[in-house]
Amino acid sequence: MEKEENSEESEMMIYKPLPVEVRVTLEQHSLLLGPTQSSIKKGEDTFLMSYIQTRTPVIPEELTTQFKKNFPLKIGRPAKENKKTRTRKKVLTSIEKRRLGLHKLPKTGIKYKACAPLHQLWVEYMENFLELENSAKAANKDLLYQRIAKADYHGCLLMVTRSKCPSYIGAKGIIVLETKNTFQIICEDDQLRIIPKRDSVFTFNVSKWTFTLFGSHMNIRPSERAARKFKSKPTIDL
Amino acid sequence: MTANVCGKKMNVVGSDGFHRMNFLYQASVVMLNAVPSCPSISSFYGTNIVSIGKKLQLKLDPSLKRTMCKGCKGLLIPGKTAEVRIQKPLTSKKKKKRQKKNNKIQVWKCLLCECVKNYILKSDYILWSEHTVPTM
Repeated sequence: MEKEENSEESEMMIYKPLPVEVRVTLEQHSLLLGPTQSSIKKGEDTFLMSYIQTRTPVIPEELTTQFKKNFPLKIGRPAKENKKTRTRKKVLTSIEKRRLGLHKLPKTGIKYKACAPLHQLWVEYMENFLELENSAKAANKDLLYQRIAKADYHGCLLMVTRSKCPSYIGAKGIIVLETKNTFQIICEDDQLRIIPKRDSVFTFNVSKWTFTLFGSHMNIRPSERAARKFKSKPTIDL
Repeated sequence: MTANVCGKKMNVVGSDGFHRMNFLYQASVVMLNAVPSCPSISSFYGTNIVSIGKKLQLKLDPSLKRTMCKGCKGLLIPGKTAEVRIQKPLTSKKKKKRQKKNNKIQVWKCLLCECVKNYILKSDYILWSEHTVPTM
């Protein structure tokens, strides 16, 4: 019975009138008046604006600009992702190394305290490698000097004593990276300093000994220094 | 540099280089743990290890060499810097000829440089350096 009545009503009116509560809210938002043509052209959707204002706790300021945006649908297939799987050549080219950021160290990421275990490791390595007790007794110290030239300086606590450029003098820190021309040092203020080897004199301590390095004679890649034979020169200076 | 062989001290050729390479390997491990935000440091030390080996003609033991990525020369730690997966044996016609079809493959992928290294898992295979009994 009820169903028949409903069907009759539905035949007369396809859409039932809106319930009372909804009508009230709509009136508040002035939709019953209907959006004027000028406002449609401007893009001001007043109902949406006021509806969102009532619901959100904080009114975002960019609402009006965002509402004016058009989001056209893209026609066509989405572009395929280029999957660059490197399976053939394993060794990285220099361009690829640059893209990955493997050629540089970040200036602010590394902390001085974090490098302390590296320094301890280096001190143990040098004490073992240089065999300082034996060389103290030996008259000829050539072996010691050769070993210093071949040694690795990553983790060494280095200090710049003399330099042609006055701003480098007094710089002290742990060597994080050694390149052909530079020492890259982490100073106590967590700053990475890149100090060129040329025209500078460095000193470092191992147990009770202090050693001086003349940077201008050490302008060689660290790996090639392991194979080099250094000749003694009459005068060494800046 | 002297080495202890059967209680006697012997001069090993190139031991200076070995000492340095050993130190650099340990340094790269330390720096990976100390400064995880900057993985390029360990790859710098790795390139030094490889180039010292080239200059002084020294070889790395496979146990160390296998933990270093061939592309960026950084340390490969499964879970941290490397992804280890096991692949099913290949079934294509070309591979059947090489008789690799029945063996699973362990794939090591470096997360930094995306270099892939495949190891074929044979149950009976022993590395030359790991032989306990001397064989010809």
